[in-house]
Amino acid sequence: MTAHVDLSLAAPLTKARRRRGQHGLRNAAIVLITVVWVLPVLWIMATAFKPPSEAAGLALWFAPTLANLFASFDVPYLLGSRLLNSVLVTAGTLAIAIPVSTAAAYAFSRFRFPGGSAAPLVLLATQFLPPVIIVIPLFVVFRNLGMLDTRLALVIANLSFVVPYATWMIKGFFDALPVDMEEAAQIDGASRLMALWSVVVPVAVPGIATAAIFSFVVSWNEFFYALVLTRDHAITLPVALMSARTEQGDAWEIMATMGLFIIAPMLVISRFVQRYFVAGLVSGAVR
Amino acid sequence: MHWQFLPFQHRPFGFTHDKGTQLKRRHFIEAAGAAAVANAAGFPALAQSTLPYALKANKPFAGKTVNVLLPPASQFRAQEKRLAEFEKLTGIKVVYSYVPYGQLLDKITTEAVAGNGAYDVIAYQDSWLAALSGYFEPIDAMVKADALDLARYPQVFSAAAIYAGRNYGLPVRAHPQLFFYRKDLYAQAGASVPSTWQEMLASAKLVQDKTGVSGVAMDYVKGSGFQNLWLWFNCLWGHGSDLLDASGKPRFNDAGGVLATQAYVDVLIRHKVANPGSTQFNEYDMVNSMAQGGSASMMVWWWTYSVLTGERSKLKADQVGFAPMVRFADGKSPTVAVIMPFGISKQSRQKDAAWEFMKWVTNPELEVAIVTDKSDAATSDIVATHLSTLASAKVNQANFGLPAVALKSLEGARSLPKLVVWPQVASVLETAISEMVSNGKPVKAALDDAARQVERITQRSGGRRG
Amino acid sequence: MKDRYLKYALLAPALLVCAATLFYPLLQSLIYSTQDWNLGRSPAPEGFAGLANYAALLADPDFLGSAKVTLLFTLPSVLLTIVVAMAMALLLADNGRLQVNARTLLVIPFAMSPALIGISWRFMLNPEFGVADAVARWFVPGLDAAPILSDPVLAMAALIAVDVWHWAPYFMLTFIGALAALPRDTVDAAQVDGAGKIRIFFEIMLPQLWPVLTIAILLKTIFSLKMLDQVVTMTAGGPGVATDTLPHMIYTTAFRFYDLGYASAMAWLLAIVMMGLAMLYSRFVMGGSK
Repeated sequence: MTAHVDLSLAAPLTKARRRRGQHGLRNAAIVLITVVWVLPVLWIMATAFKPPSEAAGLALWFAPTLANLFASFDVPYLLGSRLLNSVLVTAGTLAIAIPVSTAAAYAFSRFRFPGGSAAPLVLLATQFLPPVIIVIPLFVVFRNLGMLDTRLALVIANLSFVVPYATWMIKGFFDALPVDMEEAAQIDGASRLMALWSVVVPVAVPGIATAAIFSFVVSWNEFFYALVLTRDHAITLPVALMSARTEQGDAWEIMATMGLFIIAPMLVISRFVQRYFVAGLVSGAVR
Repeated sequence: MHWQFLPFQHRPFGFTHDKGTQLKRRHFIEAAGAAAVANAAGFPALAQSTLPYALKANKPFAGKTVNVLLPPASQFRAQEKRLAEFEKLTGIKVVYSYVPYGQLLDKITTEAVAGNGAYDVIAYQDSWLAALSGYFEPIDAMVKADALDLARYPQVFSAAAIYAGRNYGLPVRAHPQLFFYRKDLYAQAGASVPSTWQEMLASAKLVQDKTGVSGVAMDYVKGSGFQNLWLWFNCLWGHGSDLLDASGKPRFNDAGGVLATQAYVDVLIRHKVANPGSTQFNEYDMVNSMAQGGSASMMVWWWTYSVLTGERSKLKADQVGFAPMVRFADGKSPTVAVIMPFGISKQSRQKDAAWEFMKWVTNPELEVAIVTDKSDAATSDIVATHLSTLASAKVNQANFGLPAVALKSLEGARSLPKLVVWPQVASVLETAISEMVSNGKPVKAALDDAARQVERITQRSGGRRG
Repeated sequence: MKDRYLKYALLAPALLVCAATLFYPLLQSLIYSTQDWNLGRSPAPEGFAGLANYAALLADPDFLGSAKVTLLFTLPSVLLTIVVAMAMALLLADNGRLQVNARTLLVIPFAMSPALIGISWRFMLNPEFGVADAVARWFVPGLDAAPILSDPVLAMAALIAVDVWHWAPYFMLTFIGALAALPRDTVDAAQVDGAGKIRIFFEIMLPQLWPVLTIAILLKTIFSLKMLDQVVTMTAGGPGVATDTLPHMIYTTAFRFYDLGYASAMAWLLAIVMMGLAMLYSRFVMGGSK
């Protein structure tokens, strides 16, 4: 029931593909852009291995050291436990956010709600207030529930701003998929839910994957709520990162080390998620 | 400084005044007093049966936990290492909760509004006190009851926690200004160590011309907690002006204020002896500039000495020189000091236990122990707030003579004005400085604009928005 | 019939999470915005002020200036991000090994927390030893000796550039995903007819990308309007007030000046503007896509 949609609409056509020169130019452009884009990050990552006296320097060559790594895991930074907290909170957020947002996105895309096209905006509208204004009443809510300094509180707080965006991102993908796909499946006897699960979702996978990346990153890097809602036990990486800024300035090489740990999961996940893009690239829906 | 004989108050070690008869007599009185109390209580008359630092005997608060909110600092980590001593004396457990320095105020704010007394003792900057005074417990009664002698601190330190006539804390961490310079570059250029602002400019110029290294690093950038205002206050007070006049109206744009501000920005603009990056430097960048060899001098807090000679610096210890902060014209103008007191939260449910902790953590012996213990880099610090500590030969020996020089800077030092609306006023001022230096706005115009805004702010603070 | 229950059932978890968590805080902040409240004077709101805060805001030159700065940031950052993201998507839409690896690497800037980004770029733009500063001066020899972040125009440019650097990779992924779902037949037909690539893009691909594209624009606009961390860590709103965006002003008004009533009103004014944008979007954009 699937046909192939070749993604490379922007890639040179079969005829043009023979134009080697253009192909090479394209690849060169890709390499150049990637290098330029990522160079600042490489610089930051390199700093993690510089001895403190070199951290503020422009020197390209330096004697790398693992001392910063050890220092970060030690008191007072305690990278290990902060990392664990971040992992648990983010995993919890993702596990709940993706199904919830996908369901909501589908609902908004395929059904009408009171309020018409403005209805989905209500969900997004909860995001129009900056966190700094919401944080004090939110703090009061969690305080009253006795949930301060817990990872669950952070998961809930994260969900409150991940779900609306993720819903909208996935909704865009559902919107772009023609309705006849599901109708075909339903004619074949499947219920609406089954149609959703077996036909629509696989095709919208790139969209869900992107929303997952977004949710992961936003949750992983969330700082202000984490700062306010935690005390000792549930402190996450971004707050730990800021603790490398002391009254005496930034422990820059420690921050870079923590930055490594902040970035690393992203590398892994984005590599993993590419698989879903590739799947979307070579398979689509029958028209 | 007068040394009253106060029963049960411990004397600091390293106190180098004439020991002789005074101490012997004190020992006798104390021991006699101790024996008297011990006898009255029916305990054996041991010399150590009373607790030092005016701590309450018999552990009335044993089992309680005191939570302290504070920013990371090696001084605090050193205290944390010694908390067991306090627990042994009183049975009170103390937990230090560190919050990144840049977020300390945010955290205090949230806890103040919505908190439930999670923290009993809170560290804060003196400039925040006016706005936060409602959230701290006045300690005047406790100080009096335990006969704590505030004269053991420089006046500017002990006054830092006093607002509207009440005392809201004890100075635990405080910083005087020092003038830091590159000894080797100064020697090379034949420049003399300045004691006034004018001399500083001359030396900076000489060093810059002879060695090619920027004469002085300044921190003119806006942000990072109005850091570009500290030296401005040196200049302002040095020209006889001030922030507000007696009736609370801005006066920093008067003739003296304009000259002062001009002097402040002219280091870069007219004299051109400031590092050109100074328009973007914050305090940290400024220190870094000198540590990386980019600037030959700077005027900043005394603790930067450890950065200049530490592992993050390219300088060796013998290249770093320090002198008392430079002053204006007659050499008597005030310098600036910044203080971080510990205060007791009004929401705390165990203020008594918190006060016991305060008495212990501010005792001079602990301070001396910390500043002379250089065994662990993570807990070694030079910060001390007691006059006795700063003057002590032992402490100076362990700290390259820095405390003695700091004492000189502290003569006639002032801390920032205490206004409830200080954050807004500071924001206006730091923006004005930034505009003068970065956008080339003329000094008088910028000051006049700022004065108008400050007047609006100070007027508004009394009542409704309008 | 079943559909009706289904649609609410599908929506319920999301509504529960968002509305339940945010309902009270949102309502409270709205109430605060009508109160006269300075934390330095009192730990609780001091008195009903009706719309006085809002009225004062609309006459406040600082607020209006900050609104202007926010616009100055938002429009270029959204435009550039979307355009760059689309260009990158078209370039990297293939599934060759090079493209896959490039995409993996390019997402890294997105993965960095905004605070880390602000700190890192400020560090790299340091006039004495910042690598970005050195590179910029190498490419633009005529660049003034003054540090980049202390020039009002350049500081804003740096803020925008960093924002694009941060977000474009993410939207690139979104667009690639959207390109993946495009039906191929019309494109093939047009190419057989001899249409050039540009025409194909604008007349065939773009209309079909419309839903995803417009959502991307809407979301990026919201993100830009709310951007805070980079301003705090990179420029602190300076030099002067050149980069003092509304979220930054709201933050300083609430947590530095303790003027919580005023800050809440500011936040709600910004929220109302965003709601207006969203309504416009739903009227003119969404209506056209279905």
